[in-house]
Amino acid sequence: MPIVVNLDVMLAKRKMNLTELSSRVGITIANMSVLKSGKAKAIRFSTLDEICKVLNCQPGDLLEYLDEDSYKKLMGD
Amino acid sequence: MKTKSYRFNWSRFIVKRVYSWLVVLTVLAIFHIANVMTSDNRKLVLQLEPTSEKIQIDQIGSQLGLIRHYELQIDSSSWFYSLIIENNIGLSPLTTLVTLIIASLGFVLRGAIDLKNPFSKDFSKPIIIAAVASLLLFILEYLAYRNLSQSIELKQLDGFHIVRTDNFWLCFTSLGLFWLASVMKKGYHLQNEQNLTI
Repeated sequence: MPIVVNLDVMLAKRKMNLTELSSRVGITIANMSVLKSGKAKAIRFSTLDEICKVLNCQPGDLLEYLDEDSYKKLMGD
Repeated sequence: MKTKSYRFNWSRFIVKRVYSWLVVLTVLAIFHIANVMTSDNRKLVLQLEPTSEKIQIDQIGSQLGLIRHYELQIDSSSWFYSLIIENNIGLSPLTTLVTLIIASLGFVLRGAIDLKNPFSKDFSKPIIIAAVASLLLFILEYLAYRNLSQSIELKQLDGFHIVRTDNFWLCFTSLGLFWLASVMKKGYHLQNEQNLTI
């Protein structure tokens, strides 16, 4: 699925680590790790809302659509 | 004085009986197949019915009647027919084998499936294998009976026809198993998606 989660970029911008984000959002670090690695199949609006609140950003800052070729290049396929 | 209450464990009792039944069925299937494959003089016994009337009854008293049954015995037939056509106890070696596969599958799944989370693993493949096995057996059995009865009836049987024992339960079991496999596959897919929804 050519949707990329730019959570690591936003975390770096806000100088925050995954553990802190997961504790402030209220989801497990394992689930947050799944989201960050791009293995997640879907994201709830409530989770997106909490992440945007904590990171003070827009959903578009976290999610990005890439075309198939760019996505394959990014994933190293 | 305290008395110890004893409750009979029915599920354990039934499971033990079914396991022993499976062992008996395994031995029977192996014995059956080995017997068919190694025997030089394979005999097929087919049930016959008169063409004119369905059941012939000889009255031997006011309330007593003897029912005539006819059987056709064929010597030295091929092992293919011997494996498929039912013998005089009503079981063909392949039917026994497929029954065994389905029963074993039921037991394996019973142990493997976590009833609180039934779609945690994909169990559709072994179910599809059992479904294909039973469907193949049904088709093979149908074709074997059809070919055999056509070749015999055209030549020798005058006034009789062969009673075919179509095992439709195999066809229905197969359909049921295909349906179950599709449910398990879809369930696993949905569960997987649910697990990866953050």
